Amino acid sequence: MAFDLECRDVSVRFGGFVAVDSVSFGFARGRVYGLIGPNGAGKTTLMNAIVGRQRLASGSIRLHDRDVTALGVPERVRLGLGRSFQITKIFPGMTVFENLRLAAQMNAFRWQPAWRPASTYRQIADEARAMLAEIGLERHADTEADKLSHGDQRALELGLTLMTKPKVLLLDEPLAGVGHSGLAAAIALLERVIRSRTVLLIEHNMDAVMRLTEEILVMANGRLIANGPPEEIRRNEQVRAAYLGDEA
Amino acid sequence: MSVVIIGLSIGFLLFLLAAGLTLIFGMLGVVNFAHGSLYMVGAYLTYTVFQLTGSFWIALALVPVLGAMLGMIMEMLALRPVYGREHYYQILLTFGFILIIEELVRVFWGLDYKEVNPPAILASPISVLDATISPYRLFVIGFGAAIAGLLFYVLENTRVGIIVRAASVDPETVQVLGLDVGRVRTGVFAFGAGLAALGGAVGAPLFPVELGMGFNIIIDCFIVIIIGGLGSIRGAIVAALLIGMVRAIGYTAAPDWVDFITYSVLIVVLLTRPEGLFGRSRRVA
Amino acid sequence: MTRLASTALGWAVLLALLVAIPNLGLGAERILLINLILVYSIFAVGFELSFGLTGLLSLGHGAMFGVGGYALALLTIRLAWPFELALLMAGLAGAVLAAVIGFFALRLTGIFFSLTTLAFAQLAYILASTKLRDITGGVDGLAGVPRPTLFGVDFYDDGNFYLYLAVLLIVMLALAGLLRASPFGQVLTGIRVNDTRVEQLGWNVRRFRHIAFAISGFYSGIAGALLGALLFYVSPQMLHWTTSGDVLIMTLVGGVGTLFGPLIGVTIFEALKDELGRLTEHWYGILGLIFVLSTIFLPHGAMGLISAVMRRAVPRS
Repeated sequence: MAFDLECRDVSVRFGGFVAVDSVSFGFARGRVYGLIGPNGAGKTTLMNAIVGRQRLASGSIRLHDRDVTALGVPERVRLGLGRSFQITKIFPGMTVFENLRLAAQMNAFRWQPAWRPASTYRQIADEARAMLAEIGLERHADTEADKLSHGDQRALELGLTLMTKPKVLLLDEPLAGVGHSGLAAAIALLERVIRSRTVLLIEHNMDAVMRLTEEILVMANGRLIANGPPEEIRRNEQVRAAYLGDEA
Repeated sequence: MSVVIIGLSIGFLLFLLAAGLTLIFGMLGVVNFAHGSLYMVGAYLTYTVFQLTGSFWIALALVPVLGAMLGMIMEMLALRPVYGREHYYQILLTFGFILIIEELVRVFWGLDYKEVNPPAILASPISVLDATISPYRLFVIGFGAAIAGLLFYVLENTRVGIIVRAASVDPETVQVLGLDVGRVRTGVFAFGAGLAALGGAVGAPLFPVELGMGFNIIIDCFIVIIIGGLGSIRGAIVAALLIGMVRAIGYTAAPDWVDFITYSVLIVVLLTRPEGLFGRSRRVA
Repeated sequence: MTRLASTALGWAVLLALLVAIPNLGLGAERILLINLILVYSIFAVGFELSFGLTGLLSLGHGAMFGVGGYALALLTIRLAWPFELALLMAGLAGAVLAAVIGFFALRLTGIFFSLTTLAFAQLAYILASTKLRDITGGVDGLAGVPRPTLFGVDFYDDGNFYLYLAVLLIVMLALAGLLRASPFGQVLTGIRVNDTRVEQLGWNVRRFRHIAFAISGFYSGIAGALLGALLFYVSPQMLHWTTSGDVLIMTLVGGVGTLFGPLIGVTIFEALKDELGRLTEHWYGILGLIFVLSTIFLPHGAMGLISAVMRRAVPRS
């Protein structure tokens, strides 16, 4: 069975420090994977490596059974890889609608037109409105993105990522900083979004991870120390040690 | 032999300027385009103080203080309001300073170039091994080395120095240590400005004191701090001496091409190793 | 007031002014001043595309400006090319130079990028004033740059040349406005405010910056050529860092990130230069002071001030 996304012996080094140590794993199509581990375990670094933002010291990344290790971030996005950031990266000064419309341009135009205002193109406007509804930000369509509450910004972050119509979705702590009141809605949104996609989700919120994922990977000190169904991971001794060790 | 002396003297002069520039960048993240203008003001002030007192040594002592005061005013009035904004505001401001200072110099001193003679005891050339050497240049080398040594000592061994070094890596440390960030910033900028003015005083007997002398030297300064690594005094010394030698050799071998080579070197260094010899991870400027 | 309405208002005011000017019975000196404003406006609008829209602070735009001027001068004087063709080539020369400089400079960001553009421009200046003296006439420059001869109109008359320049400004400004509002322009805006995000959406950020820089160079080349035609003269001074500094001041004082801001900035700059220049020989320093004050207190320039005033006068619907 070919994997949608595959890491083969992936290692990342910063000088002498090994941030990711020979991680090998295959992600099957349509399944939802969680990636957990103590702080500093290398989770975001691994995600950066998969996405193309971080060079590998060794190993390879395969997307739809094609070696993409030499490709940069934009090329991998065009092959269907989407990624949301842990620290929100939206476009300040532009409205929520304009944010989404800009993202829609990626798929709408091979070459970005430069002679007509963007507002005259119906297709990207429609797509932006559809996504507004999907992420529940219709009432903020004309609000400047940097004026949104943190929770709404996280939703926009997700919306931007989805606009590129990724088949493989990497989410870096989508619930980070989402307050208690917005949590239920945020998790519900995630549930809708991850259907019918291959997803890798980094999260610290254990309830969400247990609920949303079908298989969990555990990293510690750059290495993949365990993987399996949520219940099995919950009972795993090594995993507990890794977390407890971190807490101590 | 004389080329070596010339090269070293230019090198140490460059170091005086580069040290201030690199400190200001390291600690404040500000690229002070007006540094050359401060150098120029130092040179002109030296001329005036010399005219008034007849003593180069008084000028040497007084001018850096005046330069530091000017720097303090610049920092407090103009740079402070824009620290929170994007970095290009600082570039714009220091660029604007160049225009203002250039005009002020024109107002006070006029258009013709001024001459500052080296002090009498250092004036007459001496012969060493077939070559004629200007004793003033020897003084510049000695003085520059002494300042460099003093700087190193202060940075490595005194409380002030350690704070400056820590803050240049992470400005927030200053706050954690309970110090007023604003005062430290002003202090560093003023100190850098004082060094630039000191450079002007030292350089006045070597080069014609004229409008535009600031810009001529600032490019060399940029090369020095980029090769040496932004924020590194150690790097500034090595790079300054290197560029000084290159300049000296250039003047004798191919005076027509010196400027061209200077700019080309800057481009090459920027493209190949912008972090320099001793530089840390680049500040986002 | 919506963005569309304020843009329309801006165009209305501009067109009204342009139409009114020939009917004001202005003297020769004033007409020259206005023509200078038109030429520099094209330069500033182009600079704004690089700095205001895309966020690239270039300190070397004088190089493209000067290259355009020399291209026109050499093609018309030495090779007797028709004016319009030479003008187009001047724009292309500016674009090509910008593409070359950009190829190197865009490997870097922030202050390193700015310094690289400055260094390249100074190299060009040195070449123009000394090394390539035989071609460029050295420090003395090249005199005898002709005016256009379209439709048999005598453009050596400054009043007629005004019309030529006004039409060109309108065309270049309109194209810039369309670019800003277009999907391409939106990507550039995105790159300015969050280039990581743009990359993560699937775009090659460097390529977009490169294209924007080249377009900006095209505008600079056209403007330089027109300045040459206006003054019948081109000189290496056009490539000097002070020229690059001037256009930066004009754009900032007028209002970065706006379509009409650069025009206002150019007008303020040139008008002050003209008026202050009569009163004192220290006008450049005063301009520097205005620039510094403007940077601190009016970061959005004159346009920002106008917008703020209008927002109070015309409440949002």
